[in-house]
Amino acid sequence: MTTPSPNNNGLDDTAQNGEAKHPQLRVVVVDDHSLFRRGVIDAIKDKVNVVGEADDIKSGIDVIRQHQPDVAIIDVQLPSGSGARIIEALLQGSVDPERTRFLGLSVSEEPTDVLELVRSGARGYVTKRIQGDDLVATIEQVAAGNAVFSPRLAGVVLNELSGKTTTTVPASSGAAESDDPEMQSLSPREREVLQLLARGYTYKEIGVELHISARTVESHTSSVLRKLQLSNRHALTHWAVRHNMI
Amino acid sequence: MVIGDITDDNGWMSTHSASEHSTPRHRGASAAGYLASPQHRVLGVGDDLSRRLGADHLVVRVGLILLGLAGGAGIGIYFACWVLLKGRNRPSAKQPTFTANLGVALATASALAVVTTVTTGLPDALLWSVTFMAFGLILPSPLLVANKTNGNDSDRGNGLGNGDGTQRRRATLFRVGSGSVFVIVGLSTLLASSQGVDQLWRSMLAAVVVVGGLAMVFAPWWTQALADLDAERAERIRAEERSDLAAHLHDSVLQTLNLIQNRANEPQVTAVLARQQERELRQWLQGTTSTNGAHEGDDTLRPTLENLAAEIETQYLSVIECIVVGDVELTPPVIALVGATREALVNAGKFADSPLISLYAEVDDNLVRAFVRDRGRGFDPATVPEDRQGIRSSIHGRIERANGSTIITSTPGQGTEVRIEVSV
Repeated sequence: MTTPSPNNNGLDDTAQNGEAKHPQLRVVVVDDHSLFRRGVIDAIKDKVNVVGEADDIKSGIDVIRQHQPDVAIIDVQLPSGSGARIIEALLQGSVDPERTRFLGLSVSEEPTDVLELVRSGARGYVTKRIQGDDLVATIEQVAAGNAVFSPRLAGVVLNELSGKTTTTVPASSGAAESDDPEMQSLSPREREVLQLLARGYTYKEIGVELHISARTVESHTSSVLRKLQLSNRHALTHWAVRHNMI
Repeated sequence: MVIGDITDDNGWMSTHSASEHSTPRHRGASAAGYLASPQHRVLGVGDDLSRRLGADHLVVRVGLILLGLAGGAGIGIYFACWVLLKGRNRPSAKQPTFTANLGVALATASALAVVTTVTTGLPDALLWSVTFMAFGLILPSPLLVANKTNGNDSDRGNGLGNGDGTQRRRATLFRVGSGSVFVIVGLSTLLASSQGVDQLWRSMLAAVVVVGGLAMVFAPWWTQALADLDAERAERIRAEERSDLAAHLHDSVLQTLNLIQNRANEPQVTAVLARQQERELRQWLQGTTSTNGAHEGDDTLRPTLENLAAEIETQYLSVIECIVVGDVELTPPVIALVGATREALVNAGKFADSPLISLYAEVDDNLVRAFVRDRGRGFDPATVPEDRQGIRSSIHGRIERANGSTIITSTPGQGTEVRIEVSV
């Protein structure tokens, strides 16, 4: 509320260069495991400004609505349901999706959990194994509006969106979007990018490998994310609402 | 048998004679045994009362039955006492005294006198129907109760379900049989005693009213008892699951946490231990929550590679991120790919000194590819000594025989990537 503009100005710089010092990012952490939440906050509090924390869906929604942070880190499994509920609820109009970004944090590597969160509108997802510095870098990426793909998430998405191969996700979650030809497939380039991500390459290394810029790699991952989110009916409405209003 | 007696228009006399003649004849020698024995009880009220009053079981029970015959007053007293005494501690048994016995007998007699005075106006038939119902309630129960007391308390949960077969069946048979006899006797008593159709209807109506009343009184208790039973059963199942979980956590997670504490100064070891435990726990959780995956067994690529990664992780204390897209049967070329992948992982684990090894495999139409990448020290492929057979035979040779291809790229200081491709 208090500082609406500086972050937007800093977007391009930070996207190119994660190390750039930009105004402190305002972050909210939602996780029901208090010890873990403490650990996350301790690990990142020197680099970002943790403005709020919450431990369930309801308080998460309230805290994020109240603080309008740059990044909200949301646990996938909360006591009263999936963290995706928070994102869905807030994207109904309580937060500006161009300003507040969501990052999933999960102990689960179940494809369904991961996909649900990403589809609900998270810019990415990291596992709880992530180290403090990596988490800060990820937060910066997310704040810059980029998609964050861990190798695991890339694998999950490849399994989900590559129509040819067997998918590990139960049919129920994949059935809705298979009618839509655009959502069904990744472009060959997007596929390549995801494969390299799954192989453990960084964005920079992918750029070198494919002879494109890291920025282009980012635009590919963002477009994959968009395809994923558009394939979610909820996300589709959010998207439409947003674009009609702009 | 006793039907003839009822022509007497004195209610007391007829019930009295019934209790004298028909009771012993019906039940035989064992009836007195039931009445006298504290083990056999309906709801335990007789036992309880006799303890409180210091009187003999036999006296209290006979008194209650006599009162029961007298217009059902005993039944009322019985259940009233049951309701009042329920949940209270049962007093310890005392030696019955003569005065107490006499007191109970006198109390019974005076109650009988009161009841008969009040109820002489009532039709005999009503008394009889109530009498038989009283027997119906009391007589079969000793067997049921005896059954119950055979098991311990926790067995009560099985009371309605599968108990110890033959005994329970016999008890049911006895209950249904004697119940039917009572119904028939009761009905014939009604028919014989009624002076006309008019009175028959009245008596039947009265009987129906009594039964309905009893049902009304006891239905909530009965349903409550059933609900309690269900709840108890569910609780037991939950408790079993809990103890299962506790046992598992104890055997695995706590042990690992101990190990990790002991080796806290060896980050690589603790990381691998934690990884291993995490994997195990995940598998266990998945195994109990879904059958998906567990049934696929190890006969396809995905689980094979996942197990392989786990094995190498443990063996070489490296963390391996294993991602498989798609799945395929383990045909010979795929087995060759798995073998070469293992060698690549082993090499990375042994020599690369990399905190993380990425294993990625994908199945695309009829091509299977695997990539093993580390960020370790790397090497110059040209300088690998001739005698090092790992790469030469285990990776290149194996894949060539399967008509596949391998590419190894490595930069000293930056890591190594092994790409393996076979067609199915």
